[in-house]
Amino acid sequence: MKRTIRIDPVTRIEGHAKIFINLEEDGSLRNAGLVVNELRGFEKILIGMEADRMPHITSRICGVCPTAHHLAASNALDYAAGVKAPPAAMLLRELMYMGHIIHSHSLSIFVLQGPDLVLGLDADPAVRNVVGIVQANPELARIALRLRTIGQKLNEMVGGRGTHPVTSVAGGITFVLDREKQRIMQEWVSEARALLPVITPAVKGLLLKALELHPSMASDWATPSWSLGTVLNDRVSLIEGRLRAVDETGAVRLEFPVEDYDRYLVETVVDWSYMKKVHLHLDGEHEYRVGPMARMNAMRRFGTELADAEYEEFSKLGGYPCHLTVFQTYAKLVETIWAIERSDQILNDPAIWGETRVPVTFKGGRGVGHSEAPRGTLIHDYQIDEQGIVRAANLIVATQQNYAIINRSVEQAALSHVIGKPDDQALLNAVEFSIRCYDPCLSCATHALGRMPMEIEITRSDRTVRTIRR
Amino acid sequence: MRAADRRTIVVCIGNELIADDAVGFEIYRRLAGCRARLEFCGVGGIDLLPLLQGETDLIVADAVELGAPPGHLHVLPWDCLPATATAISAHGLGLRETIEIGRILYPDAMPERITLVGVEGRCFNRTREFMTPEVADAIDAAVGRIRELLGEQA
Repeated sequence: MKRTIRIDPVTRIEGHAKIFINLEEDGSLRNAGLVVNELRGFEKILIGMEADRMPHITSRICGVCPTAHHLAASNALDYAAGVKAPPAAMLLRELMYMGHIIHSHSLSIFVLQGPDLVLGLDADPAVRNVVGIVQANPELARIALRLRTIGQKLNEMVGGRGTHPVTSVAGGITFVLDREKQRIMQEWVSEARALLPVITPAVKGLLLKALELHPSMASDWATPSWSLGTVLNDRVSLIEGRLRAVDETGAVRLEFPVEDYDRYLVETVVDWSYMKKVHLHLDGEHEYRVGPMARMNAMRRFGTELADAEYEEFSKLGGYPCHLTVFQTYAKLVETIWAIERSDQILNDPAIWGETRVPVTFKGGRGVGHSEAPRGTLIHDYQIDEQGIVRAANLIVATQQNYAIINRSVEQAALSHVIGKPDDQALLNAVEFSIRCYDPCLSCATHALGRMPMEIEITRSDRTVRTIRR
Repeated sequence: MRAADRRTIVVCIGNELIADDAVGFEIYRRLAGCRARLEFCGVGGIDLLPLLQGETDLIVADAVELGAPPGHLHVLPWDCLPATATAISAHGLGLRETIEIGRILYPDAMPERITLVGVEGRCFNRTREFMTPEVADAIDAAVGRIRELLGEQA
């Protein structure tokens, strides 16, 4: 009997998540995974547009990580035009980006994953949500939201707009810093820094408590894989540098400039999902992860005092390389600390006052660029003709690269919660939690009000035995 | 409280590049110069909170999917707002949850009266030029209702 999975295009767009768990006749697990669609339409929309519009248009792909697209596109255009943005422009782009990271990670830590940590995996979903987390600890929530606002303000002041920045262009940035803006941003960064002594122990405390309540998270919920991240000058980097891959043991296996990505990162179509998954090819096919934890596995140094000290702590608890899904939250905390320190460095770097833009023409050819989106490596690849028009576009986003690992985590959740266990609620919680650790961006296309349910279909020997909806 | 003491903020939400989702942006454009603080948000959710500065009334204009025919105009007071279920990714935090959070964290800044003016949308997976005709036709009605709520001539 043939298994049929129905995917309704509208529900996909809305951000519904469909999970399948297929069992053999004897009840053992055959396979499990997440069905999702993301972004593919955008690659077609871009064709025929002027290349210089890419940073503005692609930032609209997502309301969650627009700055990552904005800067990956800018980098791709710099490459296509054969120019390097001036040092001041790179610093300002990076400052914009650090604001984005602070903003995105604080939301992710406190709002998206927070409920799981604060309220525990087994809490009733009616309270295990953002409102619940705020009620449980309003003071921490206020501080976290303040940190998020500071990140957003930095992003906005340099990027020119709050949610979808506009200042980064081919050849540099249209933003010029003045003393007054530098002073204001310095104040924000100092305020953020002052919040760290409260935030850091609080987040760590939540994580440790969660591990105490669910010790299996530190043992069974490990997903060893390769890790991919960006390095520059012997430190983690987010909008500039080479990509580095380390294997399950942390050994460096590969380092390459982003324009060579298609030699190593291979997209494949799966018949049950619109999202193509990506594997790393080097002496065989390897599943790999991207994102905060992968970046730390690929490069163990940030080059700032507090972040490096916190990373020490991170490795003590999570090991090296870290493969514990639940440690993503801690990794985001370390990156948030670094983003605040790095913003401080940039604001006090004399090079920030220099020229911010060089002239650009497109003579035709390929433009490849990347950024480390909050959720992981984001690559933009355009074919641009001699009139400066985009003729083809390929975007590789973080969730695609994490897809194999996400599916493995769903399998782990299924193994520990389905096989021989009829508790639907616990299954839903476990599956939800395991997916949420990767913070996949499923709901980019619309924010329209309404429900965003999850559906799990369990089959046994190709017969649907249970469909659970939340 | 006398009418003169009431202060209203209108927040229009929507991605102006997406078919029916652009309805919030269109309402925003047509409300220019109205008798309230007017704000536009590309996405809703928690970003709504910093916009609220102690106004007594909040009107949110947005595309909604509540199961009505496309173009249907929903004018819902606070207690009729739909709750959004826990999602795998809470990127799309609902209006109701956002306000609940705001009431816990920033009680002084939260409005006492909240109204959602929602236009039922159908198409959220195509670009702007594919706005459903019924939805496009409902924009003026939505603007009219908001002006009524503001005490202006419709």
